[in-house]
Amino acid sequence: MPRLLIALGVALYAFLYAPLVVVVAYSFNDSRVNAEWVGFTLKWYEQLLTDASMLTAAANSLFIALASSALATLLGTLAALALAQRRRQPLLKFLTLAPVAVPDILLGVSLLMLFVLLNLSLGMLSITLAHTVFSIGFVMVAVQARLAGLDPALLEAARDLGATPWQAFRRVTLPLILPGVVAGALMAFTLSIDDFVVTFFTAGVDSPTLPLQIYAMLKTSVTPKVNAISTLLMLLTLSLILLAHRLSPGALRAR
Amino acid sequence: MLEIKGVTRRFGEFVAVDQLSLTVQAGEFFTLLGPSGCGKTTLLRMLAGFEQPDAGQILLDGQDLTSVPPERRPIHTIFQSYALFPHLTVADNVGFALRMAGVPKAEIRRRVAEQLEAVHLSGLDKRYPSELSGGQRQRVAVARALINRPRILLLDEPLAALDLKLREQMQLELVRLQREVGIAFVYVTHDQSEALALSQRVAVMNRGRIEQLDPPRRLYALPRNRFVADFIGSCNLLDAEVRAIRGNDLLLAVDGIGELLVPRDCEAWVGQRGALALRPEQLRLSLPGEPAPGDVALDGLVDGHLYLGHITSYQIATASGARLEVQRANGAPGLHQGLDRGAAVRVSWPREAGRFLPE
Repeated sequence: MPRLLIALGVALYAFLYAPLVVVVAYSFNDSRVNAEWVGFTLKWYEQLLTDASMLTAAANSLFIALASSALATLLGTLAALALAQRRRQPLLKFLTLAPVAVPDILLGVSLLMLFVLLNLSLGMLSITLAHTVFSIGFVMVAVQARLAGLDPALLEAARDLGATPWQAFRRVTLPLILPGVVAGALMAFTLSIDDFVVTFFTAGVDSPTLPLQIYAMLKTSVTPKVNAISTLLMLLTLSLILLAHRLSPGALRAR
Repeated sequence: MLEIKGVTRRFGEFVAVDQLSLTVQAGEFFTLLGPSGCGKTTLLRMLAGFEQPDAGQILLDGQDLTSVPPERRPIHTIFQSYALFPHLTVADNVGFALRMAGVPKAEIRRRVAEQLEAVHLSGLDKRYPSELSGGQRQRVAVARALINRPRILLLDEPLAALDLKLREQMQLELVRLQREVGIAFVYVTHDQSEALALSQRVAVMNRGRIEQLDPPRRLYALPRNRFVADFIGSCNLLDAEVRAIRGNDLLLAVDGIGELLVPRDCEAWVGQRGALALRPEQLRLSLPGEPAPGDVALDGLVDGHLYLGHITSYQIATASGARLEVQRANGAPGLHQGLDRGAAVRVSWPREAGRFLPE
């Protein structure tokens, strides 16, 4: 029985990671076709650096991810703080979490309709706003988890010792919820940089992001360049997820 | 001098503190004692400024504090959980009040070092609260609350989280500390023995009001009513009614005992109902047939006993139908040890030991 379980476990991990391993391996393959291993090369990575459209897409993605995660972190943190004042508001809490569960395609279509209604031209701004919408919920969850573990007597102690309400927030609340804020920000950044569906609906013609660019390249021809850029993107998001996980409340010591 | 004048605090329908007035003298160790829900913590929180009274005034040396926010009151609190800032070191915790007051960094460092030495915590300044023992945390809380010399220190059951031995040690330290710093301590507890051991005066609270405010000795010896007698120490309370007033004595009809005289020390009238109070350590046990040491004597049987180390507590069922607790010091001369259940005994007490408590 244990052997069967172990075999199943190995099969599961193989199933999860084999496609990724293939992409990473072929990004170093010295061949135009993905079929056979010819030899090690870094030329696909070099070609990436000279591909103007790829670099533009990367810059767009980076800008959108930074802007939307910053905005989502600010709004999500403020919302979590406001909700902490009214603990018995399950409906409010549910309403902020709903966008996390709504299917991307639905969110993409409805945001597209909203932007058209508002006469907002589709481009960097619309993508940034759309990414902010689906990121806020994740930030709120991360910050709320920290706030729930905060002893209210700490704030009273700060006030008691001469801190104004603002000083008490700045010196006590903020440092104590910061791991949650950072974890939320990293989650938001990761969600933004690899989002395809919502971006697909809210992007204009002249603002491709990396996932959109990769998709476009696949439609014309599958080049190992796609493998190379995918590998880089994967590396970035994986390390951010790992960082966020380390900062998440479960992994934090109760110092 | 801290004056509380007619302070009321309601939470919806519930009146937590009910038109309460009292005065705490400068330099006094003052305790608010009562069961949970009696309003003692709410009163303390109003003194700190965390709660606003619905009516009444709080004055410190004549200055009205009622609407002053907590950060501008010269009053600090030691919380039950200590509420040490978990993200700050011991030194930063202790120096917090000075930092908020804008004291220069060099001076903060000097005064923190001084303060840590005073509470025997030198060398722990770079530790975090999670790396301290319970007793050390309590000392950090004390050092943090006293560093900028408040005029009043409020303590909210600060010893509740400690084990018995450490608690007794900390009680002695608190009394010594209070004498050293010379400011008034307002101490909240539900532990009557702690209140008696520490305080100069104790206010016994019940349902948002003060039942009795007296020094510990007076509180124990002369409880003013049934609630106080029952809450402070253990006490035999037997329902009684005043039959007659004879000079300085009252003639009582006591359930399960019959008629007996007790000294009159309060206003009383014939027909008034109340209780006869007898402290268990004032009752004596002797064998039937022997001369009883007290003026009032009742025959009975031992119904059970608890051996408590320094004393043994006997449950006596008297022939007249009363149940009395009698405490005897173990190793005291007189009656031999080991009165078993069912043994015939005589309970007696000096007449002055009995007190009539009105309802």
